Amino acid sequence: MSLQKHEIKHIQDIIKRKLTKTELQIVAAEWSEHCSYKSSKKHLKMLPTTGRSVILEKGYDSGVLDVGDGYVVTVHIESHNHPSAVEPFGGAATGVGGVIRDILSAGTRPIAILDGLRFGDIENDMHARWLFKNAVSGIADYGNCLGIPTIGGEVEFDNCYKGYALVDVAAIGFGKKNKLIKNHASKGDLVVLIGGSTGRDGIGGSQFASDSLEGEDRSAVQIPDPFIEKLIIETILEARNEKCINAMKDLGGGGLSCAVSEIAESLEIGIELDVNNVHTRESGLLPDEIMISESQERMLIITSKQKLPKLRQICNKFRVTCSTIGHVKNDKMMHVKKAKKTLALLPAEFVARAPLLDRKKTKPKYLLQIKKENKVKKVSELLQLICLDGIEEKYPHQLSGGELQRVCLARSLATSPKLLLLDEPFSSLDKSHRNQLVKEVREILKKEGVTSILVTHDQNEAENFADKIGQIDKKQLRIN
Amino acid sequence: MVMCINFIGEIINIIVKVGVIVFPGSNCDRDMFHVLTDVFHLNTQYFWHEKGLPDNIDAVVLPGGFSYGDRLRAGVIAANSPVIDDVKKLANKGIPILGVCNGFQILVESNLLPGVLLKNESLNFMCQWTNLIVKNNKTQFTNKLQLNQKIPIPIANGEGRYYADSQLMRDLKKHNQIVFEYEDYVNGSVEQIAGICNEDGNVVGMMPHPERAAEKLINPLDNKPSSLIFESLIHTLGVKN
Repeated sequence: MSLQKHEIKHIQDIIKRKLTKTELQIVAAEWSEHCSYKSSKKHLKMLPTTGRSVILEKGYDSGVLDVGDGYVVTVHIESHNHPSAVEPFGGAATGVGGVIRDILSAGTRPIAILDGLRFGDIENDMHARWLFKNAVSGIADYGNCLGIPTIGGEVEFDNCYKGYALVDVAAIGFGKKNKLIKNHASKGDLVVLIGGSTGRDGIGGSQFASDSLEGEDRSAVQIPDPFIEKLIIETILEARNEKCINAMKDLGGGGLSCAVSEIAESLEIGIELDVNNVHTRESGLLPDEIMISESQERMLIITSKQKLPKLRQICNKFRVTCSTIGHVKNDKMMHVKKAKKTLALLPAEFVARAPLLDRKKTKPKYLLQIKKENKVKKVSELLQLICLDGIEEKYPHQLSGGELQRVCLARSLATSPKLLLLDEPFSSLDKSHRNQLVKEVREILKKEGVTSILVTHDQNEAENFADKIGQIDKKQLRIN
Repeated sequence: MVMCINFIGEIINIIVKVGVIVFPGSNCDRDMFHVLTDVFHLNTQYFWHEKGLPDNIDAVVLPGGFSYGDRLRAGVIAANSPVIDDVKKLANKGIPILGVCNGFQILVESNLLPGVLLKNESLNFMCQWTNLIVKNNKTQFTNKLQLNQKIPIPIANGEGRYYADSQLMRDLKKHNQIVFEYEDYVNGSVEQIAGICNEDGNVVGMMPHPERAAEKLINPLDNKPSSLIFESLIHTLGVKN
């Protein structure tokens, strides 16, 4: 278990009793770095969360943007590094599955996948090549089966990733603004678990993912099933159309522990659930295992009693299993039972909000070598030199051909070269601008005192530019 | 001719009815529906695999996807769905039936079309643009195309390698059942077959995706040839657009 000493003390200070075994498992899962972001939250909070088009609602796991005309676009990105480094196919595939459910939980249809990948030296390192090949096919296989295209991404290979892999997956969703899920719940509503059955795969996955990667704990890696995910997508979107969903959350890291505590905390409700009602893959699963299993392709839905029959009907249509595991209360407690026996009873807010950490940090040494002020000064000097000061905010496509050529010149001068070779730099410009620019460039180079050689087919250009002109004739260079 | 106006103000022919069958795991159903309705203005309806098909349906499309997650073998579970009995009845009546990608696999698995589809020679999922050559322009889905016309069109499949033994190949040729061939060697299909039809030419199966190629907006090469596959259906149905 990954709980630290100070965390156990924090528990005792607040709860003022010893936690039960199940409670400890729940808290350890939810307080793992993976679920709670306890170390990174401090830094992530510095990022902006509001904006003209941003729609912020309780309990959204993805960013929602109003794109006008009644439509919204949702975006979500997540890393799935540890599992991918141990079992690259399953790790990368379940990474895709996870972000897709985050898009879905806002009530939007996932339409595209992107990924950012890092591996070791695949040319010489067999293990890196194995990781690369299988992570890529994991992503491809999952997305293809869902019919959601992987529309882009980026990859780098470097020795610093030896024995490891970084797999970041992003997904984009699209939907109607008036069909977004407005997460809400009231006393007596039902808590329903739909999708894949809960098994022993991925047990303790979030804690494993938060630890240093030493053992190869394959059982901590979840098993992907894109077919069930596809059925869940269609089930959820149909249930959304039928207004069967009051609130929704996907089950990812931390499994039920995380989903239940977080949805209860964000909606300020209590949830009482019975582990006996969770549909499981195998018999004999322990309650603790049910609470922290990270079996994939599961969604938690809060629905009203009136809407439950309709929700069941939709689940039956897609043959997606659906179990009513509990109900909503007012007491803001997370209450886990097995039949009549209480296994865990903790304030949801306590579980969902791990004590944050302020980890020691140091500035990377290489940053010290980069002297920002010097750079900025150099850039503005160069821009002045090429008479383009004021264009700093423009994108390349907003510049004219002549301006672009002058920027190229500035870039070549940035390193203060002793000799500059200009190979037909003006040939792509139209004639009217060309003569002007030739003169300007000559003046700049004169000012900087850089020895320059210009290659051109244009006699006039050569005469306007150069102090000395040579001609190549029959493989012989003749200087006039 | 009965006409109506759809929600963006275009005229739709409601006299004909095209059915798009949806299996668990179908994922090109919405693309196909969009092309049939928004691009070719056909009155189209989804049919869930457990529901029967009405007798008065005029054409049926089995879209691509991963029905039942390709479990056991691509298309084999879907081929045993209740709806396939109705598809067979309609096929016998001469109703046009098109299977694309997974739809083709289902038609083959349900014996509506001969032969089998195997894993690609590369053993990998392939997603790329290919060129088809029209080998039979008499079918209900190719009658507006020219013989040997080239169709730029994408494929996206893992089990798309068509195989027929030499006896079957003789039969296919005898009855002019080879509809499309790849221009280049793509996935190891026997004689580069990309699509075939039944003896009557009303049931056509093809691995490439015409619904992903029939619109200019999403076809960087030439959308006209692919759109002629749908124009052929319209011609077959006798609808004036």
